[in-house]
Amino acid sequence: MKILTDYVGEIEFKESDIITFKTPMYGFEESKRFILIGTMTEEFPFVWLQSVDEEEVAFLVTNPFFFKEGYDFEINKADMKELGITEDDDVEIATTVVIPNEVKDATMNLKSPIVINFMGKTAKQIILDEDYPYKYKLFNQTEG
Amino acid sequence: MLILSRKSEESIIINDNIEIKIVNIEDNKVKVGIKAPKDVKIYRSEVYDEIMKENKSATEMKDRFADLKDFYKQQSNKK
Repeated sequence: MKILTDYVGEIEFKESDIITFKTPMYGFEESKRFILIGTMTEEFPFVWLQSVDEEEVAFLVTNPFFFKEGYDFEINKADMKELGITEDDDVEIATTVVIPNEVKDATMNLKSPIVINFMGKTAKQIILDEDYPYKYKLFNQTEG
Repeated sequence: MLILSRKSEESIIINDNIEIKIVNIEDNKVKVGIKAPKDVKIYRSEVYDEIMKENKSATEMKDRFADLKDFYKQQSNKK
């Protein structure tokens, strides 16, 4: 399967790469299937969550733990059930990134992270009860 | 949208298992009590609005990607 992106050109992927959002990303009800494009590394911790259903929909995301060590939250039972996971399963967490005028002012949304069950190829954007910001600055934080 | 009028202490039942009660009406504020099963999510609408806003912005980052890569290149050159 192929998809043409604006940011890295044409990408080939397999059906087995597809991650399904049973509940779509908020505001993007038409996209249920996504693939992750790129590799998250310390040198460049950004990847694209690319919609397979709508080519123009692609979220810039990062792994929040690269930028904020003390990011703790609970995933509630209903969300775990929807993702097909139990307390003992591993999940990956991604947060959407927004870059305003200057890259140094880039932020990520810690209030509603994306939980990814890699084994089961499911994902969901959850809303945390914990009081985290929608716009957490990635760079130049005086405290981690 | 269904519009109902309720007085203080009166309730509305949704889906047989969600109750919304008008707890108090004072000045311009209505205090609402909600009884719902644990798996029902309840948020102020502003929360959804903010998330949708951030989500939308995050999908408009394609032409910022090059700038982001440059930024990281500069950072690593400094080291």
